[in-house]
Amino acid sequence: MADHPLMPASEIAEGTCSLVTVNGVEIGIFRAGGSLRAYRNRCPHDGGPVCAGTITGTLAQGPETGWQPRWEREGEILYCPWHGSDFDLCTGRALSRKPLRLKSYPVRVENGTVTITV
Amino acid sequence: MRKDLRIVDCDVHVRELPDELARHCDMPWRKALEAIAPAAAVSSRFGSVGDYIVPGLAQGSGDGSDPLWPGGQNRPLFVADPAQCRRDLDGLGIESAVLFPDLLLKLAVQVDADYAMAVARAYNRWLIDRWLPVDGFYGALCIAPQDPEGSAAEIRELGGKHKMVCVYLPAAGVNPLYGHRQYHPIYEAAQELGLPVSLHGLAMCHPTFPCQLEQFDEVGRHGFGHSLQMAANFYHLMGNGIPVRFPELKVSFNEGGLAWVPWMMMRLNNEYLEWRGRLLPFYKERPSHYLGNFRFSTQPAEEPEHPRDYLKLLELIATFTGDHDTVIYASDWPHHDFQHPGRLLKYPMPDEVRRKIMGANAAGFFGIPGP
Repeated sequence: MADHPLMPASEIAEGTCSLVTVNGVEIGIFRAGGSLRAYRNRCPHDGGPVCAGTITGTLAQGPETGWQPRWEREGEILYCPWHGSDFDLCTGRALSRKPLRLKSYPVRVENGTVTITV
Repeated sequence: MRKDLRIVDCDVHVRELPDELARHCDMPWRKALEAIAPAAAVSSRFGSVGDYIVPGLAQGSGDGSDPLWPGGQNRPLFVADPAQCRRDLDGLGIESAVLFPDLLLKLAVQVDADYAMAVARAYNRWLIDRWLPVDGFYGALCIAPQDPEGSAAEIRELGGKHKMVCVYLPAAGVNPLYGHRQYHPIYEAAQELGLPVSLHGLAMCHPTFPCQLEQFDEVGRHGFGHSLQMAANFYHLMGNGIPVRFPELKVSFNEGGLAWVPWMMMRLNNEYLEWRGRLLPFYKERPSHYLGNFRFSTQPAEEPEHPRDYLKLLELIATFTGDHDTVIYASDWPHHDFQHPGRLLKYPMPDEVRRKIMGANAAGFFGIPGP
């Protein structure tokens, strides 16, 4: 386990991903729900390049919305480009394809620099 | 027949002759039924299915547009006498039966909503008057999908009374399919009363759905039309979130057999995994988790090469529901493809599974008391 300084934290905007390679492993650095997140660029479903997928929101509709369709969580949901598996960027957990979960890494900001522990 | 096994039949058909319905029909539609009664009498004498006798209910088979089958169709396909039907079912070892109509299986394609509703109301009152006093006979309350508000009122007026144990949803040619919001009043009323809604189709491929099936002949229509009508409506219910919108609503599917159920569930689960957040937002889990209030009737029971393989089909369905509570026996008496209960009794399966499928599941689902 070692710390790897990556880039200025200001480069990672909310709802975006920056792809890096650390020790030969591709990792996506996201900012979702106001915090930095780091996930391996490998979909736990079929191995697709999940971090290259669309960062978007999700549709909610049911008794909790009065049965009106409601768009929510913009910038916090990641869709794998291969099969559309959807993941909550705040937890790494699959929303549909339970109980899959993205491989995550500890990430923090030190002196303004994104630092990941791998 | 085994004396210790209770057999509850979810699908028996009664012949609703127009002159009998006319006595229970409101004006001016009573005049329409009286006018077609002579034609119905001729149809009955020749043993025809007689679909033409209700104006507008003539699409698909039996409307005179098909070539006559070599050898014709000369088997009796209907029972118009309740006492005779009771004797028939006694002979088959069937204790209780849920009664569905014959001619009104095509009710959904009637273009006049007022007429459809009037005939449905007449049928219900006739059924209560003529058939439901018989021991072991229970009614499927006929509604007209063309008139959801009128249907909901009919459900509230008669549902759960007079041995009416479910609501019959005519599925052949219904447009829109049953997931559409226009049917919500029907589901609200049924859920309120705790009455299952029970879909029943017909050997008919309506030109508008599914694509190109209008080219099917009788074998294609009968062999696949029923299952596809059930499948189409099943998806539409699921695709519109009906099990979440009406969490207490009970739904049963008739005359499509069982094999389409795992096919649909596996494919729908696949679709959900890709589309949940955009097109199926109602479901927090895979759609197969929402089948708890759904029941599927057996007839026509699939005929695998080896009878032992029927149990594999039951077990495959049980993988979705976690139990064997979902499948209910139906005979479809007295139609040409009726399923003798003996067929299922011969298929190898654990006694407890057989007990549930042949009667216990249906008795619980429809609230049919013991003998």
